[in-house]
Amino acid sequence: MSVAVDWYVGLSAVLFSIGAAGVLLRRNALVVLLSIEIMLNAGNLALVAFSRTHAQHDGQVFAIVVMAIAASEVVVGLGIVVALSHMRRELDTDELAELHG
Amino acid sequence: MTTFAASSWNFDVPGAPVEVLLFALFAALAIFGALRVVTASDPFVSALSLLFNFVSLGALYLMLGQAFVAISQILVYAGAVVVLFLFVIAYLGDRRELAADAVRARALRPFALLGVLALMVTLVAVVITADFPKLAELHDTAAGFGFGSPQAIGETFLGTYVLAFEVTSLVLLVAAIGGIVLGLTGRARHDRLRKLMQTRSADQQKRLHESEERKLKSERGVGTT
Amino acid sequence: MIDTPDLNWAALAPELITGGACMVALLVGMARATWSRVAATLVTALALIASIVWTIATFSTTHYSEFGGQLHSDELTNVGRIIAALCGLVAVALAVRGRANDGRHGEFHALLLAAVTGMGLLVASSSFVTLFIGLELFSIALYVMCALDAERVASLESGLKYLIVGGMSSAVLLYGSALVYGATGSLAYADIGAYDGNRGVLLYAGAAMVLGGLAFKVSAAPLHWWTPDVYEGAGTPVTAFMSTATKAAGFLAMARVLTTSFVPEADKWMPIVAALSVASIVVGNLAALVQPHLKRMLAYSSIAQAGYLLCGIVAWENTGVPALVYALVVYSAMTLGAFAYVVVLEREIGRDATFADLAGRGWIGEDKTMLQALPALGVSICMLSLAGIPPTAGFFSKFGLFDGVVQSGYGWLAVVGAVGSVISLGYYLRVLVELYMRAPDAARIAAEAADLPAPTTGPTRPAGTRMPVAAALGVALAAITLLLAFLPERIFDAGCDARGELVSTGSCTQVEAAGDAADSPASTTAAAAQ
Repeated sequence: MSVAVDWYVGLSAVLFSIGAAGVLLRRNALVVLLSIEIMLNAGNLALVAFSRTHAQHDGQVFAIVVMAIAASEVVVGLGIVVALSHMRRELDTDELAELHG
Repeated sequence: MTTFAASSWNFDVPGAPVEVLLFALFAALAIFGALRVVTASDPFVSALSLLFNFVSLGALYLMLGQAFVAISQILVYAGAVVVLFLFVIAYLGDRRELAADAVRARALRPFALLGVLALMVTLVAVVITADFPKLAELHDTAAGFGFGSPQAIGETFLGTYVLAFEVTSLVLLVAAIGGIVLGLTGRARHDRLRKLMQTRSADQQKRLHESEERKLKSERGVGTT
Repeated sequence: MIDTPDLNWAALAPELITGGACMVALLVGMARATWSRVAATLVTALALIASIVWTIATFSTTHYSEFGGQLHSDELTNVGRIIAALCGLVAVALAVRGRANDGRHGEFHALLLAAVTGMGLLVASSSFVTLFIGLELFSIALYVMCALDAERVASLESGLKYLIVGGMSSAVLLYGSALVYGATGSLAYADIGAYDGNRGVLLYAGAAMVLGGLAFKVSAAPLHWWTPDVYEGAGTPVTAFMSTATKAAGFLAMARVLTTSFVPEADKWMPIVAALSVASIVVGNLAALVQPHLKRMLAYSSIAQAGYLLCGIVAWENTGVPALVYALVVYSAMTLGAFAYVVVLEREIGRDATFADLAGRGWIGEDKTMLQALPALGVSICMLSLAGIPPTAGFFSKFGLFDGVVQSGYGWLAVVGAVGSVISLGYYLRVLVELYMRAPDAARIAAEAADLPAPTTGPTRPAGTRMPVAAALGVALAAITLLLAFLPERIFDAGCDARGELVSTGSCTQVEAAGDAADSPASTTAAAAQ
């Protein structure tokens, strides 16, 4: 391999930090969820790269498990975001009704 | 190398520039995608940029000789997660700005930024200074499957990690319950709201609103007594 | 041919019971009949009791490296399983007739059982894969449970906030375990601990991130900022479950990981854990002093308690782990007792409770019988125990923790803990002052209720509901808190045996001595009482 594995791990460290910045600095819930995905993906990249160094499958299997779990987290997160936006919409119309009545 | 050796390139040639170029390309794409996700003001752009990130990570997995993880990455992330995000963003329309409030006080934001920068510097420094383990030779598994091949992954997954395999199904069940419960709650109230919006006069609207409230209360049921 | 590992289902039995019942409760809850709610509650309660009975029956049976080295079942695991299941049982009882499972009872109970399953897996984990998956199983279930009271904006927001912080902490934990994997080439705790190659910066960074991810979960300062909002927004039964069972599982998992995988690095992580402990004690106690709302006060108090519990991990070489086990049992009992009273109060007044709502509730007046004043007495006992006043179990648990810390050469940490306990009297005794020494004042109640977060768009909670079950439970938990003071040595022993399996260094003789020492004041007070 001409690209040493530490380059891959270094890349994953950079991606992880970018994701952390997104979680801490952005206020939009959707973007925060996307940033968490970046962080989990950075972890996956590190796992997969190390799995190559050790020539084992453990890291890859862990990465696949993480994919399934990350998808579950996204489902729940988006579900809450959708329910919350319905709720906010209703709150706004409540104010509207008060103004008219 | 047994996996992906079917292709015309042989990645094991030392100093092969094509691999360096590919790594540079996909690393740059991944970083660009991640930065766009964090900086874009429109969540739609963020979600699309995440696609760049996911696909380039998939390519990097392929370069590491792990075909099955690469395929799963594309299928699960690009195929399911990003599509789900795009769907929800389109569904919410102009109501995309929902304050998440992860960091409550605005005054804390510079510190958060500093903390993240410190994290990045530390992690990169760790990677640079660390003694990396020597690259192990790739061998076929005991059953004769190549490194990173679906068979070899399956062997490990249903062998050593069978517990994780089983529990993942429970996690998916929990996520399904969560999605349905939260989605249904939102949906039922949304329908009521649409009926409310279709009426014309404010007076009508108010009366309907009151009757809706009553209906809601009676549905909520026994608790009120 | 795939060589399947030896599948020893007995090692996994409690999780199989709760996991299976999770699906049964979901199906039962789908029925449209009126009995379905009762049936779902019964299924859940029976499954939890069955799992507790099984765990107690096989308490000292140990299984090592089952399921291909993914699972470890010993006494420490069983303590965690019992605490998680008991907390789940209390949460089920508190949620009877509650809003959280109103019309969504099947889902509520299924999620609760899934969370208990996840906690069981977390404490039984012997590799980072099981650790991560157990953690995520109960976390995802708890995100949904927090948001389940979906007609309240505060509940949804608390679910979202918990999800964001929880997702971030799992990502940190994942990255940490990836680095540890890279450094050692293994994901199993025992192999990582036994790795005798180069244990360099890669491993240190990984261990630090694993510790950070778990510290998020147990809400230790400075990773605690989400706790008050999430605790306040979630339904009270869910909060009660979350603040006790999650902490127990998180602390036991932390003890297991640090004392098996990272023993050679102990001199590096012990100061970090001590610093986390000091930060939690200081932040939790000071912030709790100024909270007008009961749930927020309890949230900050739980941060402070996390600080005391971290002492047990600092002192792992001596009596730390047995003291931690005892302290977790006591902490769960007294916190659940306090939350049970909050549930009773909230249902009676129809909104979140503030300190002003407590005023005068401890009196036995002309319109109240002794029985009606009993819950107030119960919560008073729990508060005294949380503060660590001598005849209660809270004192002995703190004594055990601080004693271990002193033996490990962290005497200053015990001093900080003692000072923190003195500060904590300020808010714990405030509850007693309100209950017994102040008259109810409508103007004050209204003023304090005014700055509660505007909670709801739907119908407000029905006021004036009596909660005899929750009230009785609160009193029972207070009684248990008193009772636990008289048997520290038994739980110490259990923790000691667990620790014996955990680490081979040191001997448990000191532990028995400490247990006796902690026991003797209890027996003297008992003698004095007679």
